[in-house]
Amino acid sequence: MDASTRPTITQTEALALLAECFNVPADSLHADVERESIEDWDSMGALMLIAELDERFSLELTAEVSREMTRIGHVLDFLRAHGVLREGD
Amino acid sequence: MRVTEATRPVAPASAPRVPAHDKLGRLVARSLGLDEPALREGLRPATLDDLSDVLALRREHLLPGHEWDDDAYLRWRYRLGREGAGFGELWCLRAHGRVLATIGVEDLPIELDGQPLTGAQVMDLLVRPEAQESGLGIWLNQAMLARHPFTLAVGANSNSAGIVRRLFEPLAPRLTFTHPLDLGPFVRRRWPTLAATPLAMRAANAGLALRRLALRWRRPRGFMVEHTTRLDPTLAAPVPRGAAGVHLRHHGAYLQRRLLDNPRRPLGLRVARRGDAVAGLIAWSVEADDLGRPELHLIDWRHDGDDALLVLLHEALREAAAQGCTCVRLLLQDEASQRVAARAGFLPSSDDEGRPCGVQSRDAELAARLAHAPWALTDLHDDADGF
Repeated sequence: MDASTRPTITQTEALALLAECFNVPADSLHADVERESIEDWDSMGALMLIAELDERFSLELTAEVSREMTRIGHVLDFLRAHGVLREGD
Repeated sequence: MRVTEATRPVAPASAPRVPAHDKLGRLVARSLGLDEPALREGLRPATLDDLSDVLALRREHLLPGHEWDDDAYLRWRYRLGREGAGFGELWCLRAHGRVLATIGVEDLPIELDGQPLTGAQVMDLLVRPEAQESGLGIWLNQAMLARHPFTLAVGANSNSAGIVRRLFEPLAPRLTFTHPLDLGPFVRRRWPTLAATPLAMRAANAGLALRRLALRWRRPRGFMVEHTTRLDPTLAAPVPRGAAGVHLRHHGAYLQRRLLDNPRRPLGLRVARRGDAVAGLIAWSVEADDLGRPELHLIDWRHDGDDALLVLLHEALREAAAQGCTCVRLLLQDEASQRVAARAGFLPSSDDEGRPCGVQSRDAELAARLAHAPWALTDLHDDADGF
Protein backbone atom coordinates (compact mmCIF):
# COMPACT_ATOMS: atom_id res chain seq x y z
CA MET A 1 0.00 0.00 0.00
CA ASP A 2 1.54 3.32 -1.03
CA ALA A 3 0.58 6.83 0.01
CA SER A 4 -1.85 7.26 -2.90
CA THR A 5 -3.91 4.17 -2.01
CA ARG A 6 -3.66 4.55 1.76
CA PRO A 7 -7.02 5.11 3.49
CA THR A 8 -7.49 8.45 5.21
CA ILE A 9 -9.27 9.32 8.45
CA THR A 10 -10.56 12.45 10.13
CA GLN A 11 -9.02 13.84 13.31
CA THR A 12 -12.02 12.57 15.27
CA GLU A 13 -11.44 9.09 13.88
CA ALA A 14 -7.72 9.37 14.61
CA LEU A 15 -8.42 10.30 18.23
CA ALA A 16 -10.80 7.34 18.50
CA LEU A 17 -8.02 5.07 17.21
CA LEU A 18 -5.58 6.46 19.75
CA ALA A 19 -8.16 6.09 22.51
CA GLU A 20 -8.39 2.37 21.67
CA CYS A 21 -4.63 1.99 21.69
CA PHE A 22 -4.22 3.77 25.01
CA ASN A 23 -7.38 2.46 26.65
CA VAL A 24 -8.89 5.87 27.44
CA PRO A 25 -12.18 7.58 26.53
CA ALA A 26 -11.93 9.20 23.10
CA ASP A 27 -13.39 12.47 24.34
CA SER A 28 -10.50 12.85 26.81
CA LEU A 29 -7.97 13.15 23.98
CA HIS A 30 -6.90 16.21 22.03
CA ALA A 31 -3.65 17.37 20.46
CA ASP A 32 -2.26 18.92 23.66
CA VAL A 33 -2.71 15.90 25.94
CA GLU A 34 0.72 14.97 27.24
CA ARG A 35 1.95 11.43 27.04
CA GLU A 36 2.89 11.33 30.71
CA SER A 37 -0.75 11.93 31.66
CA ILE A 38 -1.89 8.79 29.81
CA GLU A 39 -1.19 5.79 31.99
CA ASP A 40 -1.46 3.23 29.20
CA TRP A 41 0.76 5.08 26.72
CA ASP A 42 3.64 2.92 27.85
CA SER A 43 5.57 0.26 25.97
CA MET A 44 2.38 -1.74 25.57
CA GLY A 45 0.41 1.27 24.33
CA ALA A 46 3.22 2.14 21.94
CA LEU A 47 3.10 -1.39 20.55
CA MET A 48 -0.66 -1.12 20.09
CA LEU A 49 -0.14 2.04 18.08
CA ILE A 50 2.57 0.46 15.94
CA ALA A 51 0.29 -2.53 15.27
CA GLU A 52 -2.78 -0.41 14.47
CA LEU A 53 -0.89 1.83 12.05
CA ASP A 54 0.55 -1.23 10.34
CA GLU A 55 -2.82 -3.01 10.18
CA ARG A 56 -4.97 -0.12 9.02
CA PHE A 57 -2.59 1.94 6.90
CA SER A 58 0.48 -0.24 6.28
CA LEU A 59 2.32 2.57 7.98
CA GLU A 60 5.63 1.91 9.69
CA LEU A 61 6.20 3.62 13.02
CA THR A 62 9.70 2.89 14.28
CA ALA A 63 10.61 2.60 17.94
CA GLU A 64 12.82 5.65 17.62
CA VAL A 65 10.04 7.88 16.24
CA SER A 66 7.58 6.45 18.77
CA ARG A 67 9.88 7.35 21.67
CA GLU A 68 10.01 10.96 20.44
CA MET A 69 6.23 11.33 20.59
CA THR A 70 5.46 13.12 23.85
CA ARG A 71 1.89 14.27 23.22
CA ILE A 72 -1.11 13.31 21.14
CA GLY A 73 -0.38 16.11 18.66
CA HIS A 74 2.85 14.39 17.67
CA VAL A 75 0.93 11.28 16.60
CA LEU A 76 -1.52 13.44 14.63
CA ASP A 77 1.46 15.20 12.98
CA PHE A 78 2.88 11.81 12.05
CA LEU A 79 -0.42 10.74 10.48
CA ARG A 80 -0.66 14.06 8.65
CA ALA A 81 2.89 13.78 7.32
CA HIS A 82 2.08 10.37 5.85
CA GLY A 83 -1.13 11.49 4.22
CA VAL A 84 -3.39 9.56 6.56
CA LEU A 85 -5.03 12.48 8.37
CA ARG A 86 -7.75 14.12 6.30
CA GLU A 87 -7.84 17.86 7.02
CA GLY A 88 -11.01 19.88 7.36
CA ASP A 89 -13.41 17.16 8.62
CA MET B 1 -3.13 25.67 25.47
CA ARG B 2 -5.78 23.54 27.12
CA VAL B 3 -5.10 22.09 30.52
CA THR B 4 -3.90 18.54 30.30
CA GLU B 5 -5.90 16.38 32.63
CA ALA B 6 -4.74 13.06 34.02
CA THR B 7 -6.04 10.35 31.72
CA ARG B 8 -6.42 6.99 33.36
CA PRO B 9 -7.41 3.73 31.71
CA VAL B 10 -11.15 3.34 31.27
CA ALA B 11 -11.02 -0.23 32.50
CA PRO B 12 -8.63 -3.15 32.69
CA ALA B 13 -8.51 -4.53 29.18
CA SER B 14 -10.51 -7.73 29.10
CA ALA B 15 -9.46 -8.70 25.59
CA PRO B 16 -5.95 -7.47 24.83
CA ARG B 17 -5.45 -6.86 21.15
CA VAL B 18 -1.83 -7.81 21.12
CA PRO B 19 -0.88 -9.09 17.67
CA ALA B 20 -0.29 -12.82 17.33
CA HIS B 21 3.27 -13.89 18.07
CA ASP B 22 4.30 -14.22 14.40
CA LYS B 23 2.92 -10.84 13.41
CA LEU B 24 4.36 -9.29 16.53
CA GLY B 25 7.75 -10.71 15.56
CA ARG B 26 7.52 -9.07 12.14
CA LEU B 27 6.59 -5.69 13.63
CA VAL B 28 9.27 -5.84 16.31
CA ALA B 29 11.97 -6.94 13.88
CA ARG B 30 11.05 -4.17 11.44
CA SER B 31 11.01 -1.60 14.19
CA LEU B 32 14.50 -2.68 15.27
CA GLY B 33 15.89 -2.76 11.74
CA LEU B 34 16.21 -6.56 11.74
CA ASP B 35 14.68 -9.28 9.65
CA GLU B 36 12.37 -11.67 11.44
CA PRO B 37 14.66 -14.76 11.33
CA ALA B 38 17.45 -12.68 12.89
CA LEU B 39 15.13 -11.76 15.74
CA ARG B 40 14.03 -15.36 16.30
CA GLU B 41 17.51 -16.80 16.03
CA GLY B 42 19.02 -14.08 18.21
CA LEU B 43 17.05 -15.31 21.21
CA ARG B 44 18.63 -18.18 23.14
CA PRO B 45 19.33 -19.28 26.71
CA ALA B 46 22.29 -17.39 28.13
CA THR B 47 25.42 -19.28 29.08
CA LEU B 48 28.39 -18.27 31.19
CA ASP B 49 29.90 -16.86 27.97
CA ASP B 50 27.11 -14.25 27.90
CA LEU B 51 27.45 -13.31 31.54
CA SER B 52 29.87 -10.41 31.23
CA ASP B 53 27.73 -8.73 28.55
CA VAL B 54 24.54 -9.25 30.56
CA LEU B 55 26.18 -7.89 33.71
CA ALA B 56 27.36 -4.81 31.80
CA LEU B 57 23.83 -4.22 30.47
CA ARG B 58 22.31 -4.58 33.94
CA ARG B 59 24.97 -2.35 35.49
CA GLU B 60 24.28 0.33 32.89
CA HIS B 61 20.49 0.27 32.75
CA LEU B 62 18.95 -1.64 35.62
CA LEU B 63 20.80 -1.36 38.85
CA PRO B 64 22.27 2.05 39.56
CA GLY B 65 23.70 1.90 43.05
CA HIS B 66 22.68 -1.72 43.66
CA GLU B 67 24.23 -3.28 46.69
CA TRP B 68 24.40 -6.96 45.87
CA ASP B 69 26.89 -9.04 43.92
CA ASP B 70 25.01 -9.28 40.62
CA ASP B 71 27.38 -11.87 39.18
CA ALA B 72 26.70 -14.15 42.15
CA TYR B 73 22.98 -13.42 41.91
CA LEU B 74 22.71 -14.39 38.22
CA ARG B 75 24.82 -17.53 38.76
CA TRP B 76 22.54 -18.49 41.68
CA ARG B 77 19.30 -17.72 39.89
CA TYR B 78 19.86 -19.09 36.38
CA ARG B 79 21.25 -22.21 34.74
CA LEU B 80 23.56 -20.34 32.37
CA GLY B 81 24.30 -23.60 30.57
CA ARG B 82 25.16 -25.57 33.73
CA GLU B 83 23.26 -28.78 34.37
CA GLY B 84 21.40 -28.69 37.68
CA ALA B 85 22.30 -25.09 38.50
CA GLY B 86 19.91 -22.20 39.09
CA PHE B 87 16.14 -22.25 39.05
CA GLY B 88 15.47 -21.42 35.40
CA GLU B 89 16.82 -19.90 32.21
CA LEU B 90 17.97 -16.38 31.49
CA TRP B 91 17.16 -15.77 27.83
CA CYS B 92 19.35 -13.37 25.98
CA LEU B 93 18.55 -11.58 22.70
CA ARG B 94 21.61 -10.65 20.68
CA ALA B 95 21.31 -8.37 17.68
CA HIS B 96 23.57 -5.88 15.97
CA GLY B 97 26.47 -7.59 17.76
CA ARG B 98 25.33 -6.95 21.32
CA VAL B 99 22.81 -7.98 23.96
CA LEU B 100 19.62 -6.09 23.18
CA ALA B 101 17.41 -7.59 25.89
CA THR B 102 17.11 -10.30 28.52
CA ILE B 103 14.21 -12.10 30.13
CA GLY B 104 14.34 -14.71 32.88
CA VAL B 105 12.03 -17.63 33.52
CA GLU B 106 11.88 -19.76 36.64
CA ASP B 107 10.26 -23.17 36.55
CA LEU B 108 6.94 -23.02 38.39
CA PRO B 109 5.63 -26.43 39.46
CA ILE B 110 2.07 -26.13 40.77
CA GLU B 111 -0.94 -28.20 41.65
CA LEU B 112 -4.22 -26.84 40.29
CA ASP B 113 -7.15 -28.46 42.09
CA GLY B 114 -5.05 -31.59 42.47
CA GLN B 115 -3.65 -31.61 38.92
CA PRO B 116 0.15 -31.22 38.68
CA LEU B 117 1.33 -28.69 36.10
CA THR B 118 4.62 -26.97 35.41
CA GLY B 119 4.71 -23.49 33.96
CA ALA B 120 7.15 -20.65 34.29
CA GLN B 121 7.36 -17.32 36.01
CA VAL B 122 8.75 -14.53 33.84
CA MET B 123 11.08 -12.01 35.47
CA ASP B 124 14.15 -9.85 35.00
CA LEU B 125 12.88 -8.33 31.73
CA LEU B 126 15.40 -5.78 30.54
CA VAL B 127 15.32 -4.03 27.16
CA ARG B 128 18.14 -1.72 26.10
CA PRO B 129 16.75 1.86 25.99
CA GLU B 130 17.33 2.26 22.26
CA ALA B 131 15.15 -0.83 21.65
CA GLN B 132 12.31 0.28 23.89
CA GLU B 133 8.89 0.97 22.34
CA SER B 134 9.60 -1.56 19.63
CA GLY B 135 7.32 -4.11 21.32
CA LEU B 136 10.35 -6.23 22.14
CA GLY B 137 9.40 -6.72 25.81
CA ILE B 138 5.97 -7.99 24.82
CA TRP B 139 7.46 -10.23 22.11
CA LEU B 140 9.86 -11.70 24.69
CA ASN B 141 6.95 -12.40 27.04
CA GLN B 142 5.10 -14.13 24.20
CA ALA B 143 8.22 -16.07 23.22
CA MET B 144 8.36 -17.46 26.76
CA LEU B 145 4.67 -18.32 26.63
CA ALA B 146 5.28 -20.25 23.41
CA ARG B 147 7.73 -22.46 25.32
CA HIS B 148 5.63 -23.16 28.44
CA PRO B 149 2.09 -24.38 29.18
CA PHE B 150 1.49 -21.17 31.15
CA THR B 151 3.41 -18.19 32.42
CA LEU B 152 3.03 -16.11 35.56
CA ALA B 153 4.11 -12.48 35.86
CA VAL B 154 4.23 -10.14 38.84
CA GLY B 155 4.49 -6.44 38.06
CA ALA B 156 7.29 -4.68 39.89
CA ASN B 157 7.52 -1.30 38.16
CA SER B 158 5.00 0.79 36.22
CA ASN B 159 6.06 -0.57 32.83
CA SER B 160 5.98 -4.22 33.84
CA ALA B 161 2.73 -3.60 35.72
CA GLY B 162 1.24 -2.26 32.46
CA ILE B 163 2.32 -5.40 30.61
CA VAL B 164 0.93 -7.64 33.35
CA ARG B 165 -2.37 -5.76 33.42
CA ARG B 166 -3.00 -5.91 29.67
CA LEU B 167 -1.22 -9.05 28.48
CA PHE B 168 -2.07 -11.46 31.30
CA GLU B 169 -5.27 -12.73 32.89
CA PRO B 170 -5.41 -10.87 36.20
CA LEU B 171 -5.05 -12.65 39.52
CA ALA B 172 -6.06 -11.17 42.86
CA PRO B 173 -3.61 -8.39 43.74
CA ARG B 174 -1.17 -8.86 46.59
CA LEU B 175 -2.01 -6.42 49.38
CA THR B 176 0.29 -4.98 52.02
CA PHE B 177 -0.44 -5.80 55.66
CA THR B 178 1.50 -4.28 58.54
CA HIS B 179 1.78 -5.02 62.23
CA PRO B 180 3.19 -1.92 63.97
CA LEU B 181 5.54 -2.49 66.91
CA ASP B 182 6.64 1.10 67.37
CA LEU B 183 4.33 3.96 66.45
CA GLY B 184 7.20 6.47 66.39
CA PRO B 185 8.04 6.46 62.66
CA PHE B 186 4.35 6.40 61.70
CA VAL B 187 3.44 9.31 63.96
CA ARG B 188 6.54 11.32 63.01
CA ARG B 189 5.50 11.17 59.34
CA ARG B 190 1.92 12.26 59.97
CA TRP B 191 1.84 14.22 63.25
CA PRO B 192 5.36 15.49 64.02
CA THR B 193 4.06 17.61 66.91
CA LEU B 194 2.61 14.59 68.66
CA ALA B 195 5.82 12.64 68.06
CA ALA B 196 7.66 15.30 70.05
CA THR B 197 5.76 14.17 73.16
CA PRO B 198 7.82 11.21 74.40
CA LEU B 199 5.38 10.29 77.13
CA ALA B 200 2.49 9.89 74.70
CA MET B 201 4.65 7.77 72.40
CA ARG B 202 5.79 5.53 75.25
CA ALA B 203 2.20 5.04 76.39
CA ALA B 204 1.08 4.20 72.85
CA ASN B 205 3.90 1.71 72.35
CA ALA B 206 3.15 0.09 75.71
CA GLY B 207 -0.44 -0.31 74.53
CA LEU B 208 0.80 -1.98 71.35
CA ALA B 209 2.96 -4.38 73.34
CA LEU B 210 0.01 -5.33 75.58
CA ARG B 211 -2.15 -5.92 72.53
CA ARG B 212 0.55 -8.12 71.04
CA LEU B 213 0.82 -10.12 74.25
CA ALA B 214 -2.95 -10.59 74.39
CA LEU B 215 -3.02 -11.80 70.76
CA ARG B 216 -0.06 -14.09 71.34
CA TRP B 217 -1.73 -15.59 74.41
CA ARG B 218 -4.51 -16.84 72.15
CA ARG B 219 -2.19 -18.43 69.59
CA PRO B 220 -2.74 -22.13 68.78
CA ARG B 221 -0.93 -24.64 70.99
CA GLY B 222 0.80 -27.88 70.15
CA PHE B 223 3.48 -26.47 67.86
CA MET B 224 7.24 -26.28 68.31
CA VAL B 225 8.90 -23.44 66.38
CA GLU B 226 12.63 -23.59 65.76
CA HIS B 227 15.29 -21.61 63.95
CA THR B 228 16.96 -23.61 61.20
CA THR B 229 19.54 -23.22 58.49
CA ARG B 230 19.11 -26.69 57.01
CA LEU B 231 15.98 -28.23 55.51
CA ASP B 232 15.48 -31.89 54.72
CA PRO B 233 15.97 -31.98 50.92
CA THR B 234 13.11 -34.47 50.55
CA LEU B 235 10.66 -32.40 52.59
CA ALA B 236 7.51 -31.63 50.58
CA ALA B 237 6.64 -28.01 51.33
CA PRO B 238 3.42 -27.96 53.39
CA VAL B 239 0.22 -26.87 51.62
CA PRO B 240 -3.10 -26.05 53.30
CA ARG B 241 -5.04 -29.26 53.84
CA GLY B 242 -8.17 -29.58 51.76
CA ALA B 243 -7.89 -26.10 50.27
CA ALA B 244 -8.79 -25.71 46.60
CA GLY B 245 -6.82 -23.52 44.25
CA VAL B 246 -3.19 -23.31 43.24
CA HIS B 247 -0.45 -24.74 45.44
CA LEU B 248 3.24 -24.59 44.69
CA ARG B 249 4.96 -27.99 44.57
CA HIS B 250 8.35 -27.38 46.12
CA HIS B 251 10.72 -29.53 48.14
CA GLY B 252 13.25 -28.85 50.84
CA ALA B 253 16.16 -28.92 48.39
CA TYR B 254 14.60 -26.07 46.40
CA LEU B 255 13.66 -24.05 49.48
CA GLN B 256 17.11 -24.53 50.96
CA ARG B 257 18.76 -22.94 47.94
CA ARG B 258 16.00 -20.45 47.23
CA LEU B 259 15.55 -19.11 50.76
CA LEU B 260 18.93 -19.57 52.39
CA ASP B 261 21.50 -19.30 49.61
CA ASN B 262 20.23 -16.07 48.02
CA PRO B 263 23.31 -13.87 47.52
CA ARG B 264 21.18 -10.70 47.45
CA ARG B 265 20.46 -10.97 51.15
CA PRO B 266 20.31 -13.51 53.95
CA LEU B 267 16.90 -14.68 55.13
CA GLY B 268 15.97 -15.88 58.58
CA LEU B 269 14.04 -19.16 58.60
CA ARG B 270 11.78 -20.73 61.21
CA VAL B 271 10.10 -24.12 61.00
CA ALA B 272 6.92 -25.01 62.91
CA ARG B 273 6.55 -28.66 63.85
CA ARG B 274 3.49 -30.50 65.04
CA GLY B 275 5.09 -33.52 66.69
CA ASP B 276 7.68 -34.76 64.20
CA ALA B 277 5.91 -33.37 61.15
CA VAL B 278 6.74 -30.01 59.57
CA ALA B 279 3.51 -28.00 59.68
CA GLY B 280 4.91 -24.81 58.22
CA LEU B 281 7.88 -22.57 57.65
CA ILE B 282 8.43 -18.85 57.33
CA ALA B 283 11.33 -16.78 55.96
CA TRP B 284 12.06 -13.11 56.55
CA SER B 285 14.61 -10.39 56.19
CA VAL B 286 15.27 -7.27 58.25
CA GLU B 287 15.53 -4.09 56.18
CA ALA B 288 15.80 -0.41 56.97
CA ASP B 289 12.89 1.99 56.39
CA ASP B 290 13.35 5.50 54.96
CA LEU B 291 14.41 6.72 58.41
CA GLY B 292 16.96 3.93 58.79
CA ARG B 293 14.89 2.03 61.36
CA PRO B 294 14.71 -1.76 61.03
CA GLU B 295 11.54 -3.44 59.71
CA LEU B 296 10.95 -7.14 59.41
CA HIS B 297 9.67 -8.20 55.98
CA LEU B 298 8.12 -11.60 55.54
CA ILE B 299 9.35 -13.06 52.26
CA ASP B 300 7.90 -16.57 52.07
CA TRP B 301 5.74 -18.89 54.11
CA ARG B 302 4.34 -22.40 53.65
CA HIS B 303 1.83 -23.99 56.02
CA ASP B 304 -0.59 -26.89 56.23
CA GLY B 305 -3.41 -24.85 57.79
CA ASP B 306 -4.47 -21.61 59.44
CA ASP B 307 -3.14 -22.61 62.88
CA ALA B 308 0.37 -23.19 61.57
CA LEU B 309 0.36 -19.84 59.74
CA LEU B 310 -0.88 -18.05 62.85
CA VAL B 311 1.88 -19.58 64.98
CA LEU B 312 4.50 -18.57 62.41
CA LEU B 313 3.21 -14.99 62.23
CA HIS B 314 3.42 -14.72 66.01
CA GLU B 315 6.97 -16.04 65.86
CA ALA B 316 7.83 -13.33 63.31
CA LEU B 317 6.34 -10.70 65.63
CA ARG B 318 8.34 -12.03 68.57
CA GLU B 319 11.55 -11.93 66.53
CA ALA B 320 10.80 -8.43 65.22
CA ALA B 321 10.26 -7.13 68.76
CA ALA B 322 13.50 -8.79 69.90
CA GLN B 323 15.40 -7.08 67.07
CA GLY B 324 13.89 -3.66 67.80
CA CYS B 325 11.97 -3.52 64.51
CA THR B 326 9.32 -0.83 64.08
CA CYS B 327 6.91 -3.15 62.27
CA VAL B 328 6.40 -6.41 60.43
CA ARG B 329 5.22 -6.23 56.83
CA LEU B 330 4.00 -8.77 54.33
CA LEU B 331 2.03 -8.93 51.10
CA LEU B 332 -0.95 -11.26 51.09
CA GLN B 333 -2.97 -12.43 48.12
CA ASP B 334 -5.48 -14.98 49.34
CA GLU B 335 -8.38 -14.17 51.63
CA ALA B 336 -7.72 -17.11 53.97
CA SER B 337 -4.23 -15.83 54.79
CA GLN B 338 -5.52 -12.27 55.14
CA ARG B 339 -8.01 -13.48 57.77
CA VAL B 340 -5.25 -15.26 59.69
CA ALA B 341 -3.01 -12.18 59.52
CA ALA B 342 -5.85 -10.07 60.92
CA ARG B 343 -6.10 -12.50 63.86
CA ALA B 344 -2.41 -11.86 64.53
CA GLY B 345 -3.01 -8.11 64.56
CA PHE B 346 -1.89 -7.21 61.04
CA LEU B 347 -3.67 -4.26 59.45
CA PRO B 348 -4.28 -3.69 55.73
CA SER B 349 -2.66 -0.57 54.28
CA SER B 350 -5.10 2.14 53.34
CA ASP B 351 -5.42 3.10 49.66
CA ASP B 352 -3.46 0.01 48.66
CA GLU B 353 -4.21 -1.00 45.08
CA GLY B 354 -1.91 -3.96 45.52
CA ARG B 355 0.78 -5.39 43.28
CA PRO B 356 -0.66 -6.71 40.03
CA CYS B 357 0.03 -10.24 38.89
CA GLY B 358 -1.38 -12.40 36.15
CA VAL B 359 -1.19 -15.63 34.20
CA GLN B 360 -1.48 -16.47 30.55
CA SER B 361 -1.70 -19.67 28.56
CA ARG B 362 -2.14 -20.55 24.90
CA ASP B 363 -4.85 -22.92 26.16
CA ALA B 364 -7.78 -20.58 26.84
CA GLU B 365 -9.49 -23.07 29.14
CA LEU B 366 -6.35 -23.51 31.25
CA ALA B 367 -5.85 -19.74 31.35
CA ALA B 368 -9.38 -19.30 32.67
CA ARG B 369 -8.96 -22.04 35.30
CA LEU B 370 -5.67 -20.55 36.48
CA ALA B 371 -7.12 -17.05 36.60
CA HIS B 372 -10.16 -18.09 38.60
CA ALA B 373 -8.31 -20.25 41.12
CA PRO B 374 -7.09 -18.65 44.35
CA TRP B 375 -3.33 -18.15 44.46
CA ALA B 376 -1.20 -17.37 47.51
CA LEU B 377 1.96 -15.87 46.01
CA THR B 378 4.59 -14.44 48.35
CA ASP B 379 7.45 -11.99 47.90
CA LEU B 380 9.44 -14.90 46.57
CA HIS B 381 7.54 -14.28 43.33
CA ASP B 382 8.24 -10.57 43.10
CA ASP B 383 10.01 -9.62 39.93
CA ALA B 384 12.64 -8.12 42.18
CA ASP B 385 12.81 -11.26 44.31
CA GLY B 386 11.25 -9.32 47.16
CA PHE B 387 14.20 -6.99 47.21
